Order: sequence, then structure tokens, then C-alpha cells
Amino acid sequence: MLACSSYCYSEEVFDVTQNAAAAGLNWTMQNVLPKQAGLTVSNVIYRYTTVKQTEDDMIVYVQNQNAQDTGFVFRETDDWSGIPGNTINKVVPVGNIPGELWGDGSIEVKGFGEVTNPAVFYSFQFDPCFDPQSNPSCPGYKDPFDMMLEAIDVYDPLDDQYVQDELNRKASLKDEDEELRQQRRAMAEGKKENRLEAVLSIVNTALLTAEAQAQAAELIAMNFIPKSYYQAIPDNKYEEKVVLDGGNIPDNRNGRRVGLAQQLLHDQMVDSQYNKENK
Amino acid sequence: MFKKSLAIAATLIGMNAVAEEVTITGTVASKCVVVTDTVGIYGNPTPSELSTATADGGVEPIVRFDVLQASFYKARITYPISFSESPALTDVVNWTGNVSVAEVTDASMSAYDTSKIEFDNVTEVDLTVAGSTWFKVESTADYGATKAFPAGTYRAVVSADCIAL
Amino acid sequence: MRYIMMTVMLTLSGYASAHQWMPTYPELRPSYVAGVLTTKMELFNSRNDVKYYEILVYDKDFNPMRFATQEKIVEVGYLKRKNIDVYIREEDRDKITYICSKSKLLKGTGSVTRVSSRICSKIK
Repeated sequence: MLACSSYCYSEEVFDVTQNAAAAGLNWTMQNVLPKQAGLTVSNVIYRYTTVKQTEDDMIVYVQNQNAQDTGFVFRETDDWSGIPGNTINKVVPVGNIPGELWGDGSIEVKGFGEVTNPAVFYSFQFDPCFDPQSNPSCPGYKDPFDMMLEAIDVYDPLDDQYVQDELNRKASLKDEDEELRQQRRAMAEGKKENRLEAVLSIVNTALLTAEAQAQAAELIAMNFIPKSYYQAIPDNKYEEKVVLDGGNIPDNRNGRRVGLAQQLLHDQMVDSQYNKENK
Repeated sequence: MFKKSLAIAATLIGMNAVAEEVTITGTVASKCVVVTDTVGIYGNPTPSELSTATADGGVEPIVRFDVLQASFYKARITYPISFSESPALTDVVNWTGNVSVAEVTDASMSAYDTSKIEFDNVTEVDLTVAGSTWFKVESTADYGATKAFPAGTYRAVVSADCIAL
Repeated sequence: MRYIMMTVMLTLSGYASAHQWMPTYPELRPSYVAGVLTTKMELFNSRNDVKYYEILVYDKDFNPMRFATQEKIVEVGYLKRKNIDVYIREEDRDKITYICSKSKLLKGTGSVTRVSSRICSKIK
């Protein structure tokens, strides 16, 4: 506790502003009070001289608007009616009003007379360590570098069971897709592997699992493939209307003895490649 | 186990510590404080004149009266009518002076200037308003009929009394 | 705890020194001597140019009256407080009106024009 006593305290700063009314009878507090968090004003000290006729009525207000509401946060009234002008020197305790409430200040005169040599001072206090992060010497200050080095739990998504299941499902889907592609390659020569066709075939075939079909539905939804892509479009076949009668072209008797045997051999050779029984 | 017992015992001892209350007392009562705000200096505008006026190179003495409660005291200020210390003077010195309110902490104190009582070199003011009032004293000393003051140190005293009513 | 403080100058001028004399209305009570009344007064000196104060007792017209005290001229240091017992005769009780303390200025010191302060308490 003894060690803490010298470490736990922060220095309160007590100070007084410059003359707020140095430039005239109106002033803004932004140029007067320092911009410090937690600042409070404890006293208003003011001084001015009135120049007036003794018999005249005159009331002087030294005031500050309320910056966050209507009305005044501070207003002091000096009634000089019926008395000679003089210099007034006053200290008004205000009970530690927060700095953000202090709006524009002014010295207002009602009646006949003039205010000269105005001087308005505000005594204030604040704790420089109101925000501990503002200064390394403040108690409770945390080094940002140390905060960065704090142990961070590393999350390995591959350890997550759900992620692993998804990856396994995707792997199996991928395997199934690859198998289908090989089958299509074997079915027709010259057909190009087309992602659109794969999607269409996946949707139209009953060979895939329900999961794959659901996945295909998601893929379709993501890619916004129109329904017309995978729905059968009725088509027509235009039959040839004009048929030419080729007639019968008999064999040439004159060439029968020369080419008939060759012709027979040629015909046998051609027919042999269509002989499926041999395959 | 022993350490735990020791810690518990220390805690119990701490809880049973006797606390003493020390009372600070004070009372607020009427009182008058006389403060010498500014000591005066005589200027020597002419060889035969000593004056506290600013225009004559002097400084007017200012006395402050602080009263905690209204109408408990009156102020009596006397401007000098003789030197407390001076070289030997062979002629009469003519003294003039005036006491007036210089500054106030309450606007109504300004009425002291109209309600003050003056007789001889004395100005009496009833302090009817609580707070602080500054009185300035003007003092002028003329030596003979335009006779020059001999060289030397001259001192005079302003008397400021605060008298209970 | 170390404070950083700025003192508010109430007077807004430079030099200031003061003298206090309390209570305002002292009460006379019987002393250990028959026929003698006493009262206790307190003097606080915040005048750094004055070290000595004279105790005085007056009637209502400010005529000096007889009294007794340990020291008629007391020495009170700067920012020091002193309690003073004042003794008066019981027969003078009705005449005595004021008990005062007056600053004593040393000759040959200080500035040209000085202020002598006197504060009087009243016996009711």
C-alpha cells in the first residue's frame, strides 16, 4: 500500500485563465478554457469600473450562456442604481461546473452608464490523467505495444468438425463430378467439356445423390442460370420434302468379268468393319 | 497451512484495529481585517509640495477593510496632518487630504462615498455591507508660502481604524 | 501528493498585509483576583512590515482607560497568532467601551508613507 500511495495519485492541476474580457465585453470560452477532459471551473473572478451619474439606474450582468441548454450557467448581478460609479472586484465560487457547460460569456449593461476596464478570470482544475492513455506516467496506462503482444487464441478452421465435414462433402462431390466427366468423354467424340453442360447433366441425371442435386441447385441459384438452360425445349425436325428417286443403276455387264471379282472383294472388306460380332 | 493461518490472523488483526476520530472545530464570527494594500509615496512636483497624486509622481496609499458580517464595524481613516519623520522644518506645513472608495466587492458599497462622515482629517464609514472595501487616501503637504522643503527623508502615517459598532 | 496550484490573487494588486483582532464583542468575566475582570483577545499578524502591536482600552469617546495586561506592547511575528489577557477594574466596567490593538511602526524604516492599523473590539 505504501508503494502504491506514490504511484496511484495523479497531479491535479489548478490554474487561472487569462483575462477573458481583454478584447471586449463579449468572449467565447473556446479561446479561454483549455481543452482538457474532466476540466471543472471553481470560481469566476471579475473586475470592472462603472462610469455613470449617481442618480442614474444601472444594472450590470456578468454571465455565461449554458452551452448545452437554454439559459445561463453563470450570472452575477451588480445593481449600481442610485449610487456613484466605482470599481468592483468580485470572486464568485461556482462549485466546480464542468467545462463543457460554459458557453459564450459577456458583460451586459442595462440602464445608463458604461463599463470600462473589464477583467474576467476563471479558476479551474483538471486531472491530466483523466484519460490514463494520455500520458505514459499516468496510473492505469497500458502500453499499446504490450497490448498487441498479448496472447491471441489461434483458431484453426481445419480443426472445426463442421468445416471438415464440408470439405469432405465437397471432395466427394468433386470425385463424383470427375467420374461423370469421364463418362461423357467416353460417350461422344468431339463433345467439349462445358461447365454449363455439366450443370445441365447433373440436374437431369438421376445418377447423382440428393446432396449433389441440392448443391447443383445452389450453384444454379448463385450463377443465376435461367431455367431455360436446363429445361427441355421442345424442338421440331424438318423432314426433307424433296426426295430424289435415284433409280436403279444396274451393274455393267461389260465390266462384270473384269471388275466383278474386285468389286466383290471390296464389298467384303467394307462390310467387315461394320461387323460388330467381331468386336 | 502455517502461512494461511498467518495471513488470516493478519487480516483479523487489521479488522479489529481501533479508529480514532479527530474533530476539527471552527466558528464563523464577525471580524474586521485591516489590510494595507498599497503603501504611499510622496511625489515632489514642486520644491514646496509633497503629494501622493499620481500626476505629481506619487502613489496613493490604499487600505482595505474586510468584514465578514454587515453592520458590525465602522471604518475610520485618517489622512496625515504631520510628518512622523522629517528634517527640521522652520515653517508651517499645510496639509490637505481626502479619503474615498477606490474598489468594492459589492456594488452597494459604492454608496459609502455618499454616506461617509468627514470631520477634521477623519473619514468615518459605517461598513453596512459584508465584503471588502478599498479606500484610497490622498495627501498633500505644502510648505509655507512657496518655500522649498529642506532635503531629507519625509514620512507620514495614514491611520486606519476598524471599530466595532 | 504534490499539487500544482496557482493562487488566485484576490486583490489583483501587489502588496497586501493585514492585521486581525478578535473577538468583535469580548465578554468580561471575573478573574482570579477579586474586583478585577478579564477577557481573552486574539491577535493575528499578517503584516510583514509590522512586528509590534500596542494594546489600548478606551471609553466611548476614545479617552484612554486604565487596564492591565502582561505586555502593553506585544511582539507578534509575521503570520503568527497571540492570545492576550486583558484585565480591567470592575468599577470601570460601565465606562470601558473599546479594547483595541494598534500597529507600531518602527521609526526610520519602511517607505515614505505607511499605514498604521487599529482594530477595536467593543464591550457591550
